[in-house]
Amino acid sequence: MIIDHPLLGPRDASEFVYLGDASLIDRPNPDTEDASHAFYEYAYLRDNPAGLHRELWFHEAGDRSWLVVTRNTETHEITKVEFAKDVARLAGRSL
Amino acid sequence: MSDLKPLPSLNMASATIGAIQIQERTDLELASVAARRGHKADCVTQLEILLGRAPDIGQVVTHDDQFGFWVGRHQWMLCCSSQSFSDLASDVKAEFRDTASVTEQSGGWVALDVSGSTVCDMMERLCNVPLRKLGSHQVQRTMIHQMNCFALTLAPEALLILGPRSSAASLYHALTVAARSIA
Repeated sequence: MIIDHPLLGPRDASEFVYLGDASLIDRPNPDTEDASHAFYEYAYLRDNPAGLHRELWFHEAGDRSWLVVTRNTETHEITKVEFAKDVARLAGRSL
Repeated sequence: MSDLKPLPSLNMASATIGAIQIQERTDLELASVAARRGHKADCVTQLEILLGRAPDIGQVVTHDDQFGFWVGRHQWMLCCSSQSFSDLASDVKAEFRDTASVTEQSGGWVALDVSGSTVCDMMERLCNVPLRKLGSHQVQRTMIHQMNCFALTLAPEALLILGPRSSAASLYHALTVAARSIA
């Protein structure tokens, strides 16, 4: 499998480490009243889609960037690769 | 100026195995530069002052007795070949001030010069860096025997490998085994 890094171009998947679902970026606010339930869902519940899936990959043997990779779980086709930092900032997750 | 001498991480003479020479470089000082938010342009300007131009993605820029290379987005490593061993990180921090976070890296890395006409044959047994098409003054971070290393092409048929200093002997072992396999 080849991941098309936004800066470095196509790189072998063996250079990367998989972390999990990209929804992990959306960490719940611990100060809300239903934080306990929100963290239960955040920690334990995952969608398991047959089709497009957004997931976090770390470029360990490369520039050490975190990426959000959109991958089709049925075909392994990768349709989009973004920096996790940019995704998080767009979602207002960073100052 | 101090008369202290740095300890080599390997403390062994250079090795010649077939056409390959492997030698530790003990004259390098390293400091990493990471641009703080919104200050990338300031850092690029400062790198241009220090090196002539800022290293672009995957590039090494040499300038007199120093060179710098791209590490990641908005991050660079500065290296200085020095006999004086002042304090590169402090000097660099004084130049970049609040535009970047500067970290002393000299103690973290072992630098090995690997050269010879068969260096590509040797390295393709060790890592997935496409040396034959990489060209001069390029850098790629890679894995050599599970050790995270930088491979820099500073001259034809010559590489500088920066690897974890605490695993210097393991890295040296990996290089010599690969060199022997093609000797």
